[in-house]
Amino acid sequence: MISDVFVLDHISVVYGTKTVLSDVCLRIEQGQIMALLGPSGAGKSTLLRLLLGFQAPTQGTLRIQGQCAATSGKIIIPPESRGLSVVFQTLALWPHMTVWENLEFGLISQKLPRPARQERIDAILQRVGLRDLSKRYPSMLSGGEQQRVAIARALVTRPQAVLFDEPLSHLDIVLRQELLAFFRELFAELELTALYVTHDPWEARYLSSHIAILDQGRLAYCGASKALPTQDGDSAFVQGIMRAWQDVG
Amino acid sequence: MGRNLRRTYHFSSEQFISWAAALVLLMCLLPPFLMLGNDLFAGSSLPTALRSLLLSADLWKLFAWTCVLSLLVTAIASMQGIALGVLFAKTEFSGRTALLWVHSFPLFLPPFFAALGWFYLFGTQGWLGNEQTSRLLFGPWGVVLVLGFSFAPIVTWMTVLSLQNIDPTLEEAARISASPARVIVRILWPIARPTITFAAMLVFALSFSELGVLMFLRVKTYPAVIFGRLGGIQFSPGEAFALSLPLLGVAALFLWVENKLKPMQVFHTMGTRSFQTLRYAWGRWQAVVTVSVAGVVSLSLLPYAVLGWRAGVEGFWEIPRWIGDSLYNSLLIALCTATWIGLFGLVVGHALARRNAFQWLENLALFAFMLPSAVVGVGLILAWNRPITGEIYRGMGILVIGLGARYAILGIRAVASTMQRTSEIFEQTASTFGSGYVRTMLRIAIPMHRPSLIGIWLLILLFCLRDLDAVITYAPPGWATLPIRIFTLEANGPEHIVAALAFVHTAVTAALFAGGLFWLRWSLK
Repeated sequence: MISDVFVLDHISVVYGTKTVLSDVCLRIEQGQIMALLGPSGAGKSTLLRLLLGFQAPTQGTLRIQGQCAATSGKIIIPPESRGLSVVFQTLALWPHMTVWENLEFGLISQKLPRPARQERIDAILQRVGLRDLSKRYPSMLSGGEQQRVAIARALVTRPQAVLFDEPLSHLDIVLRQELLAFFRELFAELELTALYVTHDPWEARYLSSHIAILDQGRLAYCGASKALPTQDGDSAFVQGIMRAWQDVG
Repeated sequence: MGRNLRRTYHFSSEQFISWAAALVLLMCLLPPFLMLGNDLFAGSSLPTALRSLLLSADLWKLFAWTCVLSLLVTAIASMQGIALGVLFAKTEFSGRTALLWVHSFPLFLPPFFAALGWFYLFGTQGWLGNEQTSRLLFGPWGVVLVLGFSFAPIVTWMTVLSLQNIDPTLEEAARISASPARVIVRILWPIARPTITFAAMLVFALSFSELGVLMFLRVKTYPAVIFGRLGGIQFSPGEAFALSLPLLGVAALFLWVENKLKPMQVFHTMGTRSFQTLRYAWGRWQAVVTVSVAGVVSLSLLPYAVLGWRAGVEGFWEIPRWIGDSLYNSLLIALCTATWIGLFGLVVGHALARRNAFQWLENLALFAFMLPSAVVGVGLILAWNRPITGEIYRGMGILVIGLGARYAILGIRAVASTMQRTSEIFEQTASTFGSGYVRTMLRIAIPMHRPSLIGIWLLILLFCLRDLDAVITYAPPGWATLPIRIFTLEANGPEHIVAALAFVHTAVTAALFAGGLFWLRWSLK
């Protein structure tokens, strides 16, 4: 049985003369919640796009569930066949579709019959507490409700893994705390595999079992989030993360 | 310790906006407003004149026929424009960017030139022509095809811009569970649709307004009847005014629909940001797609190439004898109008972007654009043909005012879209350092958007240069532009001279267009 959902094998991504990711090796196992930390421009978004299938690696190989998904300039498994979901920072709720239609979109792609779709959507809306709002458009929802729709949409298709791209970064502190608690509860309940991109060490520590730190396109650290050793030669950012980590711990 | 409070007098933004508003009102509202006066009817009242004209079944039939013709042009332009727009915006193939620019070029030429080119090819005396091709060309289908191809770039560009301005995460969130085709149909198309609908409306308005092609191809339409009342043996400005009234209604209807669509248009919700968009590869079909797109683009350029062929060496040799001041007039008028529109477009567009206010000014400019040129012509003649404004009416001023009324919307909207791309905090920061409106505009807003603003200026210049319909109604003697000169020569001048002059106009436009593109590319680097 394959326990690794993602295996990144010496991945590099180069745009023109700029190296965005450099020789990154990373594994994310089934049921693991991995937080990905890094300063702006570290290559976090590129890594996310690579996993989703919107970006091919210049060098190296990406395996998803043991299958080669992309290798040296080629995308082998297209985004729609990777069985992943994503929650973007901007949420990307389709403004012309109701909550229900936003959730149904992925299920139609999976060719699920209507009763099964109905059942799944009802269940997830119930779980995120939005059952009464299914006919509303995203613009008619509050910020917190929109977040819940985005996560419901990501989960309704029962993906192999969910990728989160700083989903809470633009929220106020109260809503952020509330949603963090909600995410943690969901992660534990559904035994999700997730990659959670964030700037915030506290958020990462609260949610994740493992942590990866990207700095200037290189993987500066990867391991369990309980122990985070400081090493000589770490960049100022990595050392800052380590200190913050110990403080929030 | 802090900076001293200083009392300094600055021109306020309100003052500038008031002046710009007054100019827009003068240009766009005065002509239709004065049309409501009835001093043209000399003894007969407006209701009487209206009754005799508007109760005519033939006129209403002509009105309906013009609508049908414009709808057909819109359908052809939309089919071609949407297909090409999706290909250019969402797929990857060889020569994509170059082909998009080449495809845009006919938009900056009078559509009448395309009709001329097709005539030299398919007229009875044409290179590939016979009686049948000539009959097809000189009829509704000829009009539909000529105008459809000429206006398709409007739809193409609006499709490209709307698709490229959609936040890519909306697409990416869909792509992880659906094929590219389904994402285009279910996600991108519904979001882009209001903008593309607006493009289709623009095409409808332009084809409804078109005079040059319809008069050349001898297809009678409603605006041509109005134009006929403004000169020659049928001269009767009062009747022209009465006939114009239904067109005011059509323009008002457009304005209403556009206002309904506006909140949904990508430009208005997000500005014109450029995102890194997903493009789909054609794989082994790439060569087929490239050849097909190149084929369609070449077809739309063919009539302009034919002009050069028809002119021959003899035609080009005789150009100095026939061209007169027309090229100089064209360039001078276009330069002045583009600068004039650029200035008040900057003030009003900036106010729209920053305060979301003065929508009524934008609506007014849009109304003037949607009005058929013949109607604006009637209004301008009424407004400016007076002893006190004689100097303006008999000189270049009337052309600058007329073109200003027609293309004001281009300046206002394009500046507003450009300014929406950047946050106003840059200007607010300047204000906190004591910078007034003029200084903030000159030192912050304009330099930050300089490449786009020069691009807008060039766009207006090219539109003014191509214009035939708006200026032909009221161009004073001695101020004929090159398109007017060609149009009037076409009736009884030598064919090779007409073709040579049209080719010269095409070449000048091509030089400005290419120069502008190179400059933009260089400045964006």
